Amino acid sequence: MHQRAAISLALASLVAVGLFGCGASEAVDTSPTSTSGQGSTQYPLTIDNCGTQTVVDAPPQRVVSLDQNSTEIMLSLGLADQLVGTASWTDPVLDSLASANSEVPRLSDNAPSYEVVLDTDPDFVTASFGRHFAQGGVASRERFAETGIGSYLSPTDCDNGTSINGGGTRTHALTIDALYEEITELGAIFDVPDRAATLIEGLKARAAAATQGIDFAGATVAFWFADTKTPYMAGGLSAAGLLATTVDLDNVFAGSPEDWPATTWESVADRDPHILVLGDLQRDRFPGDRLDDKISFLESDPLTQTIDAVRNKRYIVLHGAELNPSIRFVDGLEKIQSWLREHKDEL
Amino acid sequence: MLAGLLLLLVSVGVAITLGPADILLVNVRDIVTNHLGLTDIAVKMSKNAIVWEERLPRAFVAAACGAGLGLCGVIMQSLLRNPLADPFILGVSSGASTGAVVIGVLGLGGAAIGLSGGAFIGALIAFGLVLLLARLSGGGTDRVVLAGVASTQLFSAVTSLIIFAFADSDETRGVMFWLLGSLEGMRWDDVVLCAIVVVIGSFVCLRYAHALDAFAFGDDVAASLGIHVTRTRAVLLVATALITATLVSVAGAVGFVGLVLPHAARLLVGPRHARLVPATAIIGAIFMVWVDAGSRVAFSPTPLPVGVGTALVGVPVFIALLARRRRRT
Amino acid sequence: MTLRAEQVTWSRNGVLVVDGASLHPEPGQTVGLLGPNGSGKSSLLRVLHGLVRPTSGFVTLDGVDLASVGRRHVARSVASVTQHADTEVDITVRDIVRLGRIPHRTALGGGASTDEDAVDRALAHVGLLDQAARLWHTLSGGERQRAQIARALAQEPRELLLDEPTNHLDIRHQLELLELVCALPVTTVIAIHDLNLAAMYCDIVVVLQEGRVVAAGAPSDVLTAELISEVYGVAATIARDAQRGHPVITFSRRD
Repeated sequence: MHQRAAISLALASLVAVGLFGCGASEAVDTSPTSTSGQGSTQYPLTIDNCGTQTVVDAPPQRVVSLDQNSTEIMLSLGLADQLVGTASWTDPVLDSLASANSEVPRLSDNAPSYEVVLDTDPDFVTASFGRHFAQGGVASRERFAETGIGSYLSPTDCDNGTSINGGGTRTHALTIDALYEEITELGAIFDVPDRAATLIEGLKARAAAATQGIDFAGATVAFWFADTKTPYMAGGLSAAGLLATTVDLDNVFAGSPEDWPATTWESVADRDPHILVLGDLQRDRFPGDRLDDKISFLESDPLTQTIDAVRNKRYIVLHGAELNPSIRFVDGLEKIQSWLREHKDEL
Repeated sequence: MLAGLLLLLVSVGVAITLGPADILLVNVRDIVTNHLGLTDIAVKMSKNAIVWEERLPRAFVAAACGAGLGLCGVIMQSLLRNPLADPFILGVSSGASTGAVVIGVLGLGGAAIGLSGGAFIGALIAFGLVLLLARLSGGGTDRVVLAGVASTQLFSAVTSLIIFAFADSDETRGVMFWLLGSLEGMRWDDVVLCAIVVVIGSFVCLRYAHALDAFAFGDDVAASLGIHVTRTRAVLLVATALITATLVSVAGAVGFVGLVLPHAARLLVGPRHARLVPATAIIGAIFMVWVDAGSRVAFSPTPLPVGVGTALVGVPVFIALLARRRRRT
Repeated sequence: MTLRAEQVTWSRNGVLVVDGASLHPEPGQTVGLLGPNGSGKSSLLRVLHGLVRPTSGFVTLDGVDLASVGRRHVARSVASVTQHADTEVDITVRDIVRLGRIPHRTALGGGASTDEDAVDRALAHVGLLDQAARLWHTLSGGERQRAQIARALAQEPRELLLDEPTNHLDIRHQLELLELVCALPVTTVIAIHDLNLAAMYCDIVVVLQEGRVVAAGAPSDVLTAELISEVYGVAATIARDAQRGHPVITFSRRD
């Protein structure tokens, strides 16, 4: 009885498949795509990028950017037309890039699956964080290469040929030069070196202006990214650590080699920083992501109440993207400068 | 049985078309015939990659996992005379998880072994511990179960310790994905490995089908029916451990399949192992193919670990089975 | 020929359970194994079937040491029914009886029709042919025992070993079972509690005390008031059944 039901089900399915499976093959568009570039870059271009050699034959026309930082660089380089998908958004896009970004499809707020990326029919993939190319990520760079998709990982995530976010540890501190290197390399890949140079000059100018006249008088700082139970604080070699060294603030967790080590409130209270930089994360996924959650926790918890920065309410608020290696690093500098201008006498 | 195999092929064919990317059955047909060398139709490269390099290997690995874990579930339930037994009762999945995090988080061994290799080694170590504990406490069915529980707890604790103490949030997420069972990133060599293991496992199971029947009333009755009890139990436990270790090291710990599917199959074809074994394998394969397709679609663009899907479906089924038993007794 | 035990000794965890027991049933006989709890009846049966190896002495089947006979060959000649066989599996009576054909199955799996005939015969013997589709858990205690006996019969053995099969059964089912067993053409060794039932149905009784055989022979010869007092520690009077001549034991109150 069960057997008969199974057989009839199987036959019915076979018929259905037959009906749907018959038909004309889908047409494939093989017309050549147009290229738009300055004509400065010599192709084929070989980039030695974090231990992987990427060869680019022509400026990529269909790019998927897996991280917000990379996306914002691409948009700043005027490459919105070449972007066919973005992912991993931690904050709202920079105001200046909003209209360009609205034309670009957002594949996912977090990391997308390999299929979703492939469905956009890309020829190039960029990322700021190496975890996308590691186990449990989207796909390895080799796998992308199998279908002719080139890949690029931000040098800010690279240390001696290994990705930090993909599992390595920094041996030396991140410098702003890594960011400029990323912009330059992307400029070369997409044949827009002039725009890249302009962007870099603009950033350098803003950074110089933002660090003028800054004197924190030896104040100490801790950068709190997220999590009220096991707070993630910035280590010395990270982008946030770079912010500290750029403005001459003493990062109390500078001794840790990890970018964002998980610490305890006890160790924070022990180091008693004068200033707390709070990450205002739009992702709002964990307790303490949002700014108001952070502040209300700090001021109600009996241990954190004792911290100097909390007692005196010395908070500098930065977006998540400003605490990570990206062009918004400069925005971070500017926000620190404006805070200092307001609160200089409190130190 | 033939009807079942046909249903499986159809399932694969249809499930392949499901997913965030828009793929039609005609695309699948063209791509498959192209790769078989029968045709040379122009197909978009991305669609070709999605079907041939991603969805098809995933479907086949899913089928293999469903069949293999289902088979191991049958063996465990019959051998240990416990309807709640499943292949992970031998500590294999916890050991695999520990092996994976040792490689993935602590970075020991690294590229030489790889996550899957570490998982396989961890699985075998955990199983070895189970055998040792069982033997030290006198052997026998209930000792094996207890030893399995102890081993599972031990390795789970070690896994948690390593994750908590050493993993940052990204590594944790990466490992979690693996711990729950994930078919992301399955390639053709995974398919070949799993297929070989499951086919061999099926043959072993069928060969011991009568012995498994004989265990229904316990060791003494089985022995009186001419079964070499200790030898048979040893062979079947080792076979189960190897099959489970291989599948878990490829796709992670996919839960509920090994527990629930044997019961479902028993409802359809009865308890005789000559029929139960192939039925469980086929039902398991079909089930996993659909769950895999579902986990592609359910939370797209974020991939859902397939172990979450099996739990979501498996738990209500399991509850229904429990209710049925209660009404009986 | 038959199963014989020669001076077998067996210990469990260092405790002597069977102590130099010998058993020589004649073909076709029904042998009753008697003795108080802990006298080693079940253990002797297990040794006899080869489920455990004796520490000294040996068991022979057709004159050959049981240890050197293949398991499957033993299973084709000797079958057991234990006290507490139970299962969680939703198994039908027919499938239970079919288990008895396992020793006869070859690797190639042939002989399906002979199997079914044997199963039918076994079911008919115990009167469960019309109950063959019922599930184990719906069976009463007596029906379960009969199903197990049918399974043992399906093995087509020459020897049948039964370990207290009448426990937990109504008196009527006890009698039915023993009549069935007696009528079987196989040699039967049956461990049994009830002295009167043993007297009624067994050709030979063997009495165990602390693992040793203290008496063996026809019930009327063996079951005396002295033996019962010695072995069981109770006072009894023996009468004779008018019709069949077997002893009828009447126990006296102890106060």
